[in-house]
Amino acid sequence: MIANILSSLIWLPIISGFLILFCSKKVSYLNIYNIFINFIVFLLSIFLLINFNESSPEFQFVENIHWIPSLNIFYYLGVDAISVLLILLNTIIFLIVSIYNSTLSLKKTNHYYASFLIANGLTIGVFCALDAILFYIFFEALLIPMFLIIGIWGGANRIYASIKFFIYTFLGSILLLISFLYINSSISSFNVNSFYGANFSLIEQEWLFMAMAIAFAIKIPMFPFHTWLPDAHVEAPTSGSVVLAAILLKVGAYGFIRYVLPVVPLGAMSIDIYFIVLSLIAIVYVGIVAISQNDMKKLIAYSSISHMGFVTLGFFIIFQLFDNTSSAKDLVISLSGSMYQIISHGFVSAALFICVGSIYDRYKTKKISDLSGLLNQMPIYSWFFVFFALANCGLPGTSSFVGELLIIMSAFKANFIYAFLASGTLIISAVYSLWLVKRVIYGEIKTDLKENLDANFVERFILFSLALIVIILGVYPDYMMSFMNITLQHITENIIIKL
Amino acid sequence: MESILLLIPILLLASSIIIGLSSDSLNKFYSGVISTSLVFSSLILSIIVLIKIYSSNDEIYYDNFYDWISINGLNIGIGYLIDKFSSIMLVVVLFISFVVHVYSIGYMKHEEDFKRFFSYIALFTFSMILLVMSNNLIQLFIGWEGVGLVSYLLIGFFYKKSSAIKANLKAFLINRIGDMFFILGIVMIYSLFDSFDYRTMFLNLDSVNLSNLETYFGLNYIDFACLLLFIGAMAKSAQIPLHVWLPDSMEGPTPISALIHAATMVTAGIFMVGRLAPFYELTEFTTDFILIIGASTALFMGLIAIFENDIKKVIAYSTISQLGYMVSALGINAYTVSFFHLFTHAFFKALLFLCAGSVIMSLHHNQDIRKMGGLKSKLPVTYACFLIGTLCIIGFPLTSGFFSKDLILEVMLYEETTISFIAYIMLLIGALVTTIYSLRLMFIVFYGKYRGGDVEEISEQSNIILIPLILLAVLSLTSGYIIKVFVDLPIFMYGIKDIHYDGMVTYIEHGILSPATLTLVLGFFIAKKLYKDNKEFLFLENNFLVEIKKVIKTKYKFDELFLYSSDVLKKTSIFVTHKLDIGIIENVFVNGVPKKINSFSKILKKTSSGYLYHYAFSIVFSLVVIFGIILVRVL
Repeated sequence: MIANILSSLIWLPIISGFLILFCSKKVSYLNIYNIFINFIVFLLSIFLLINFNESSPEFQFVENIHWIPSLNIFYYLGVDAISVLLILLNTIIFLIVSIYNSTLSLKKTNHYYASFLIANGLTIGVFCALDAILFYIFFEALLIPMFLIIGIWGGANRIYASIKFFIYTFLGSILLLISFLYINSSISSFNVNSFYGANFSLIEQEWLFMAMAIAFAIKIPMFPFHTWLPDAHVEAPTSGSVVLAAILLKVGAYGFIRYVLPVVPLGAMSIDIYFIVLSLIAIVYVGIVAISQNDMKKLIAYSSISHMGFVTLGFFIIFQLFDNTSSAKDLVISLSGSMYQIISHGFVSAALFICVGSIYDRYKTKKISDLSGLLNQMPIYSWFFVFFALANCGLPGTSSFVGELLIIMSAFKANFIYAFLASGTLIISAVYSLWLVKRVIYGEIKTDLKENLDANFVERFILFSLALIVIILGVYPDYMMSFMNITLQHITENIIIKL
Repeated sequence: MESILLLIPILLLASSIIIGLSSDSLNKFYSGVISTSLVFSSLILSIIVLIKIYSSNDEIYYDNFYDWISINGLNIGIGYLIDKFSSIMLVVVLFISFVVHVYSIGYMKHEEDFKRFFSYIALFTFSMILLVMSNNLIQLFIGWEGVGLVSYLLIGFFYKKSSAIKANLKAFLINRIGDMFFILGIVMIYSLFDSFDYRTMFLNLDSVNLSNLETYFGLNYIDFACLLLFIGAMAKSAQIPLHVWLPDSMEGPTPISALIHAATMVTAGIFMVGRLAPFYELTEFTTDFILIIGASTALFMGLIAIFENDIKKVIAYSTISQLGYMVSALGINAYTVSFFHLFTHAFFKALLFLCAGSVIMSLHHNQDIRKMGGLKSKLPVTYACFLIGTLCIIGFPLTSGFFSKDLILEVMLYEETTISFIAYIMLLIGALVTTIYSLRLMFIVFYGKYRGGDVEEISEQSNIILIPLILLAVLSLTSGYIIKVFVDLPIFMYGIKDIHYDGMVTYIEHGILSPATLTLVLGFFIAKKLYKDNKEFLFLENNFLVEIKKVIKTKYKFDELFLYSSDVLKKTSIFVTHKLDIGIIENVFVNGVPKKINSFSKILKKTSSGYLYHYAFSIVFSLVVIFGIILVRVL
């Protein structure tokens, strides 16, 4: 069991996903089955967390099997601390989504559930694949269920949004594949460890960096590759948005820390300034764009881009930190900040999208101008909304504060201007989050619906669990920080050794 | 000791959570009593701490409760640092909070959201305690943002009122502007010492070579860091130009005005500067800046109060003005003097607000002083308490305000620099202004005839409202006599500024004979003539003074500035969304490129039209061209 835990984590949801296609169409059975599978996967990931030895920087639970020997392709799986944390985020989010889905009434329920189950397995695959081609396959395959979720169960303009989403991310993926093939051609291996050991000339590194960085920058998404995200969010069904924001964007960030920074650090270092500038633009400019959005989902989508700007900022300032101080610990702090931001944003954005989805279920509108004074009608629900909006603007005591603090700290060590612009988010995020709250939650009620509308049991359970996670991560960040510290030190060493 | 210190915040947090999440079966009165008794227990514990601190020999209690983050190279703890300074602050905060709790049981009894209110004020006190106890800058910041958050919730307590939800958003955003600079200041200090911990920082202060550090915008490192930190304090402690949130915060229920303005939130900025005194000792530029900001706030905000007609807003502006006095004292590095004024101010300002609340309640939520008058006989207890509060704020001899305000003026005069002399003059005029607006309020509300309709409906409030008033009145009168404690108060491991103090009697004599007494007398006559006897001074009709009055009545347009900038932000957002995000990135690139490809493929499509003669023609044409080229080459 323990030997093949990663394979079980990947293939259990995928196989169950295919099985569900042939299952009976009776919704109540489907719900139980769906939640049950996701719960098992969640338990497996907890098991993984408990058995993981965080004091070792090596990949653990390794499975390495010849797959296509003629092409050097292996079925090579393994995890380090950041993979474990991302897998845990993933399984929690999918479990929550499966519970949330059980309250919906949909067309083709079994197909819908199948898409999510398959997406669950594929994402876990992305986070533990240590062979570049295997990673690429999971990375690409993940597009298919997401494409279907948006394209079939989405809103009115879903076809446009799903095709845009697909073409955009696919474009990046091609560049990624080419880079992997190029690396293989010079070191004849797709193994991640050999990637770390490989030495390329500066010019090679620059080209490889550009190609891979664009692929992952589209996924994150970084400015100016971000315009697919708001459209995809607006059209996606609620659960789709949750997965998109909480998981899919993190795949891009994971790609950076696993395949870009340690593999071609010199390439990254030579043009890091552009990526720093793009990250700062994402934080400030995209944040300002978020302010005037009238569609709640769009607003949260833009705020996601803005928050992911912190993640990439944390990634790319490490080279300047290295120049300024050349001590590894500042780099580790910066990367820790980014990782913390990744995990934290996963929970906060998921909760916000669930909040918006619940409003849409009741009022059939996502437009801010159509809503007002929800606190009068659904108090419990509204307080959750206020809480997550506050978490979204990085309030201390919630998880978002930790990552932002560490990144602003590191940014200052790199350059005062970076820190100044990054800290602008304190104001901007407060403006868009709380202005949203003011218009939607406070005030007099606008559309009076007669029935009892407050959060039902399932919603309360979901939002409460998410709130609890956000608070625990915010009040006691040390657990997660220490958990990933050794791994990040190891990654930093891999980066520094090549500089 | 650790368990006592741990219990103080835990009890408050417990109170907040228990009351906030309790079901409807817990009745209002009991939930109020539970909450109040928990705060009271915290208060008792903090008094025990204070006694222990003062009975021991300069002992400092310092430890972490737990590690917030503890990785290689970064250690942040949640803990405590208790010395004389923070233990006094703890008691003051908890005492005011306790009084406000008791008062609120009476004041809020008809409110539907009674429990939500109690949950908030407990959380508010908790955040403030976290801030005061803190032993490092991050915990300070957590508490700092915490009070900002709860004030946001409290000001927007009546969430249906559009003015309330505007005011709370404004308060939060302005505080966030300060916080942005504050966090930058924190990270600057951090990179100097690689630590957030006060003790580590202050102990290593000597070993850091300050002259070799980078400069920013022409300021040296520590000046700039202190300036950034102080901008944070300007927002919290409502100094020009970041004061605009405070008058609007009167939208919240009255007891929280007392809590916010007396001992918590607004004093956080003063406390922070006092805590970081060792840094402010090193900077000349920033302390001068602080002095200018403080003195102008004290004078100009006081002037606004003279023309306000809302009872709570008059007191709010007086708070800003008094905070200006405290900040001015910080500007000449007289931290303990500033802290002394904070201490006495906490009592008489809470008293004034709670009295105002009692008046408002008796008049069925009328806050307009033009519809009051003659309440002296109807509300005798409130009147007496309000009178005491007023005497304190104007610094009437032998009241607490007399001691603390005079001390500020004294040390300001002894500083003997140009800038401190200008500040002294401004503060002196400020004292005159204070006398005028305080007595004006007094005369208009309590003297003359009732102007609001039927006078018979008015009656004094219940005991649960009056007892806190009396308690505060007693302390307002007496709290000034422990001046010795503050004169001798060490600010964290550093000695104290030499303050001219030769015993109580000399001090009182000296104080009475100072120019401040003159302003008191002058102010009294002006206020009496203008507002009690309703006589006009002819010289006030002077054109120049009328113009000045107009300027003051606009409140110097700071609100408009804020509205204007938020409007600009909104417009920028709309503009960049449409022009840049949709206009350029979306239409030109994302959708534009496929369109270009489409139109290009249309051209290509024309070449494969399917007509035989098109193909025949192009074959012949190409052959001619090819042969032509060959021919040219050959020839």
